Amino acid sequence: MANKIQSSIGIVLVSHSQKVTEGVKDLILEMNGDNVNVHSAGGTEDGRLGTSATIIMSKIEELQECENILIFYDMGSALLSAETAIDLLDEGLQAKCKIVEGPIVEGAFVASVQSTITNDVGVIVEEVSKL
Amino acid sequence: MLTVQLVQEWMKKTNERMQENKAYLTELDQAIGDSDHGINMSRGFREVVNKLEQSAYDDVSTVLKDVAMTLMSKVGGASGPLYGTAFLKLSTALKGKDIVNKEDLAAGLEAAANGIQHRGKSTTGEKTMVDVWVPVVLWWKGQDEINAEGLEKVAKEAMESTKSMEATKGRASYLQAKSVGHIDPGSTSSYYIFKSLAEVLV
Repeated sequence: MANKIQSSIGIVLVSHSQKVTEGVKDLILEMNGDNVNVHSAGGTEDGRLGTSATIIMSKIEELQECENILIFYDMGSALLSAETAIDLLDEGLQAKCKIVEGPIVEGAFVASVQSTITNDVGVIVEEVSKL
Repeated sequence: MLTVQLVQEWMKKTNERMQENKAYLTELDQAIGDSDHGINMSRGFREVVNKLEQSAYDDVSTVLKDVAMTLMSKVGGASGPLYGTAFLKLSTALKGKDIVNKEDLAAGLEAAANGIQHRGKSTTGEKTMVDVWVPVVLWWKGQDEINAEGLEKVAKEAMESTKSMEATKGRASYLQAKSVGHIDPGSTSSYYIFKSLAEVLV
């Protein structure tokens, strides 16, 4: 097995449910420890079901030191809010962001594991697309 | 003409309509969507009014930006990023304008309608809020002067036109032909926004 590296990839999880994104984050941290950079951006500011472009934006901004930021979403307005969040960012950070098509649980999990062995974002997205 | 005070009034009236019609919007959304439009709109515009009351503004563009950011963060459903984008585009188009005239508003509302279509990857005839925004903008551009009465009428007719449409975008599209016969909830909340605008325009 390849040596683990400190990842330069950031992962942001977007779902209507904060429980979903917190749960996926827990799974990822359990598997990878502190080697990965993962943020939960599910639910609304007042804890309802829904998504918030400004929460997503601030979670992306917290990862601005990363070279690439992968965003996973579940459905419907989660994508619209993720796209809106990216539009609100400055251009340098926008260029780092990629919304990844794939199941949020398995996709983010695979991406996080991959991010501990490679910083090649193309390889990581390719692995997710195989799911 | 639109001023800071009139935009604040516009949002107050919009909020009142969203609160009064919360149950009706939910009912429309129960028929073809996920039943959250009334809750999301009432929550979003209440927060908009709260935000505007807490702040002092020098120009229309800044007020509209706060409207946009509040809707994006507080609504929760798809209408948050859609209306948020619309008001953000409107804000950007009106940047630097002390007094917003009919032509400025035409350009602003067109940018807003384009923003909604871009964000929702949607066009007219798909039984969405786009079916109100686009005809309203086209009509507005063809007017020689501000015609508040006409604005309300055009927006209302546009909303009603969604009843006979089959949904091909959004959650209602899962229902396909079954969506015919119901007015689209997003077109209804858009009508409330334009009806309220018509009431404050001078």
